[in-house]
Amino acid sequence: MKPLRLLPLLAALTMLHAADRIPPPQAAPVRAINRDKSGPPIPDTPPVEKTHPPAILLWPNGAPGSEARQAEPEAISWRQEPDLVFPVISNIHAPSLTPYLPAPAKATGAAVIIAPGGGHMQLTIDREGYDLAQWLADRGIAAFVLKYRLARDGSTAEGAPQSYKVDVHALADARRAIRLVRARAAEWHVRPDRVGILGFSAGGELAILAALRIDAGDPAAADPLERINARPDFFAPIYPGGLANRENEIAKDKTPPAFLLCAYDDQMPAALASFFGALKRAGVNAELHIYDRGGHGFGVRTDRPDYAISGWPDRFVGWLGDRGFLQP
Amino acid sequence: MKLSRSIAPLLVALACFASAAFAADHPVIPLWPDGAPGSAGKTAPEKIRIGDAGDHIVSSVHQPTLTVYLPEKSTATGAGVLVIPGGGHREIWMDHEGYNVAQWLADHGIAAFILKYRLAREPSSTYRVEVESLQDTQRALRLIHSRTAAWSLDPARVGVIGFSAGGELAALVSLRHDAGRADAADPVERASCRPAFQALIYPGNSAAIVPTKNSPPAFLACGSDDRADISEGLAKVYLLFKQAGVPAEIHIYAGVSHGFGIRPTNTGAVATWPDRFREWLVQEKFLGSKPK
Repeated sequence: MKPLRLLPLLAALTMLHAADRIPPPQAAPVRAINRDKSGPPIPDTPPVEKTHPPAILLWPNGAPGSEARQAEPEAISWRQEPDLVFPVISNIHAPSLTPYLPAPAKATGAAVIIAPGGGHMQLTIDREGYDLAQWLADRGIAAFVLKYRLARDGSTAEGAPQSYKVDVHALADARRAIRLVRARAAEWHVRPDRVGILGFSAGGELAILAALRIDAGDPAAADPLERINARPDFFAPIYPGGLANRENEIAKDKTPPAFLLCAYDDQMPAALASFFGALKRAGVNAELHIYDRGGHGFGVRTDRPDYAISGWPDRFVGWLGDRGFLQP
Repeated sequence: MKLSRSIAPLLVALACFASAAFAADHPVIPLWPDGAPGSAGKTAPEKIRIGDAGDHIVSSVHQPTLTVYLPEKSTATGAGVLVIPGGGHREIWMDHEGYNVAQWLADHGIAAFILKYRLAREPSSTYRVEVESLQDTQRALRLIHSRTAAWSLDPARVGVIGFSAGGELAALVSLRHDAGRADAADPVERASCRPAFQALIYPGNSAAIVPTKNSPPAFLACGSDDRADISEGLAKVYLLFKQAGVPAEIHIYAGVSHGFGIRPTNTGAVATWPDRFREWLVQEKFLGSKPK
């Protein structure tokens, strides 16, 4: 009964995505790890990805290492947490960027690639993706939501190959995203020297990797995109993973400016404060905000005005302004 | 040089006038009406000089005081803050780390009390940070606690904010405090000197800040371009609060140096730090409700 009722909806979504050849995510059952019975009830209806601008494939002919699976649709399912139920995306084999562009007259020239979190198992696509992208675009900042390949994707069928690595495939996706934005900078009213990456949790790990393991591009590459420098002009890991043992990877005059933020009642405030110290010792420009309450995974939330941390996006934009990234 | 010497008396007179004008608006209470312990025989008058930007810079303090800024009754939250300006223990910068802070707090419903304390690093000073300056800080908190009824304050919501050398004192009194001596003849000495919260803004001597699990909740802020013992040092201090299980919040502003305080000329993200402090007070429930 249910699949039948869904058919018209799926057909409509298929048409929406037809232009960019990315099939719509297919509803998937809720996995055990995504259930938390203390949370609000999981809706009876399957989740649908919210309307968003058309996505752009990072590799139109298939991402390296994913050629065989590029036609597979993404999966979308509910995730239940103590105070929220929300959709998550998984089974990503055709990494993409979804651009949220400000009105040209309002464009500051700054661009932020947003890497949502989800433990490399899935992507919290709304409050750690599309919602922030819209918020930034409203403030004259071009934002691009990155769907990267998931190194710990549990939605892949048992026995199917699942060979992605965070510092290989997901990092390749982040680098490719930076190159793509630079390649089309003029068209999008972006300045190629103002392209940064912001990531949440697992996406924060990706932002750190992209900033510390700089790939300047290969001038001899056949693909013109691969000739472009993939060093971000700034990076903003928000309650990030992947903080351990990074000190030796920080390089003065190479590591871009950093904006670091998390809450006291999360798992990484000590590691984040230490990371700040390492950046500072290396002479890298860095800003640190650790609020005393907020937990993990808050992303952009407008339903918690009593949490001071809910205003964190203003801190990020303030920092961008202080660095001169928003000047005309 | 000769010219500046000749106008020096005039400048002193002007400074006294300016100082008097400030004092007229806000009551100034001596901490030790019978003389501060350790200051007997010190009769040198207090000095005030005016900095290039019009700052009031005080030195030669032998009669420590509190300057009182009370909020409008209609906006009063019942919270109070002891404000300790800095100046390297050689002098005290009264404006951006004192008057401006107190006025901002009072404008937001928070009673503020600026501490003028004895200076341990003035040339030929006999005072020590951990003795006389700390005594003044403790005495100031006792005095506020002894008058909470008159000032409509909730004794559980009286904290301390300090800048630079004043931040050192704020951290010190957060580590060294007592409940008062119940049998003291002086009613002020019967009051507690424990701050309910501590706000350490680019505090000096960060290596000495070693919180315990009973330390008051902490709000920390500085600029990333401050000296390493303050910028990197404050991140380390944050780690210690976290390890001790004490609620703590930290904001380190990139590209910002020492001594921003509250000035009308501050720009960018750091200019909004007082809002972060207030948000934190709200969240830690120090501005919650008026005392009954």
